[in-house]
Amino acid sequence: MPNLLTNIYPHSTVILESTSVPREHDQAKPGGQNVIRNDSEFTTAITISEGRIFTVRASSTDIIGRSEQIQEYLELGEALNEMVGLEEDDEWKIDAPVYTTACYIASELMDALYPAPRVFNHGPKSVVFNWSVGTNNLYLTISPNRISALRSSPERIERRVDYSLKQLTNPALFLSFIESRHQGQAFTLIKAVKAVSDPSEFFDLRRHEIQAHPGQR
Amino acid sequence: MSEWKAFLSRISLFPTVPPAPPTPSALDLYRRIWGEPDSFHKQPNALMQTVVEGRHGHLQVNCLAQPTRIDFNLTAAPTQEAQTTVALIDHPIELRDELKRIIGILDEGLVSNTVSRVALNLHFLNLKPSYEEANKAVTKIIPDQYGVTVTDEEDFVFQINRPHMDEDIRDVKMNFITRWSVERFEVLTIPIQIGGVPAAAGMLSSLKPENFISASVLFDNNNTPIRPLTGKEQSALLRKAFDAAVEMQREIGLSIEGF
Repeated sequence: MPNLLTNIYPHSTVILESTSVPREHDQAKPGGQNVIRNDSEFTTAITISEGRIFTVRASSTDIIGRSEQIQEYLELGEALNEMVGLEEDDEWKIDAPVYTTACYIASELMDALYPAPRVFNHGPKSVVFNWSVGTNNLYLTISPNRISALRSSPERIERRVDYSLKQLTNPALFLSFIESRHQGQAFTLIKAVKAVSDPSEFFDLRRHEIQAHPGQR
Repeated sequence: MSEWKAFLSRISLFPTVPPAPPTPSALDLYRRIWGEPDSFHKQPNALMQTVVEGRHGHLQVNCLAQPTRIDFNLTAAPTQEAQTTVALIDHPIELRDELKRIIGILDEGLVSNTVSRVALNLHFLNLKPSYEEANKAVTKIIPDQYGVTVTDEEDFVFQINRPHMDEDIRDVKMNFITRWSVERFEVLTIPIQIGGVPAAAGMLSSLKPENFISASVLFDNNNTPIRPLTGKEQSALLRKAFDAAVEMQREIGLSIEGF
């Protein structure tokens, strides 16, 4: 709302009065309103007898389909929930500290409007987030104390970076340095570093095909 | 009396990267600040927000929590009259005092050493019947040095940041952001029967949203994350953020009572 005014984010919940007991009077109770503020861009208000939805409209259009992306992150969150809840001997089981860190990283990625990754694990001690464009892949291996990013083509590992989480104040930032180009294909994730504190902020996300130039990395 | 009124205010806390001591739950935080809530909705999905909310005096308050941020939002509480407009805060002194009280609670160590960034938002609106009048109202409070002129344009946004290193807390950079804009609010009222049953689909399709145009100014003052902050550091940064917002609103001529 106060910022770009371009995204209207449907909130995943609508909260009614906390009681389900019918009111003494059938009339609407003034003041019986609950307000949800997901962020400053979407507000839902519900009274006993009426609901009210505030949105902020601008004439510009979204850069990407936000609702589809949120749905993909919802599925990622559910997958992580399931993985931490599995029996100890299950091969998909992840430890609670891995789950906590993975949720934090996923939340950062979602907030920064990165595409949702696929997820798999390497035993209980880490999870791997994966993005692919064509035959190129980007892997983010997350353990409770470390995060490592690796980009690969079918021929080789092109780049690998490792960080101790203690050294990172914002884990999403280092993704801006990861870029994979191979045979005319590009995989680029770019995040604008935020000075504002609003949940959604200006971003530049490119996921496209480019022409490779001789000598270009 | 100023035509500008507060629309919302927010104090945000950004937890440090794991592994770190866990922050208290949204429900615990709400209880520490405001007591028992009116409603609480915990999301089963860890990536979605947990919502705790209630009423405090003339304010509607809530705490939203997700892995990377915790927000304390303060807005206008519902009034006796039917609300067919954008609800604004008629008790700015109460808002001011409440923000200071929350900062004081953080000073006592509510989330000490588990937060690396704090932010304070203050958002003011001046509802107008047309874009022309809203543009006029908003450009009136933009300092002349920026030379901004708009007349009948729509979707106006102008933002500046005056960052600087904090003088008292080592290595911490503060952002002092002011954003002027003209916004169009769409308010859709949906009849809901007692018990929360929505109206019939046919009725919903006939609903028409009401539109409101407003001049807007937002102060978003925050620090860039460096390391876990103690409670004292969090409150010190938030006090500076608050004081800077108050000073800026005076400087541009909002003249909000109590600020």
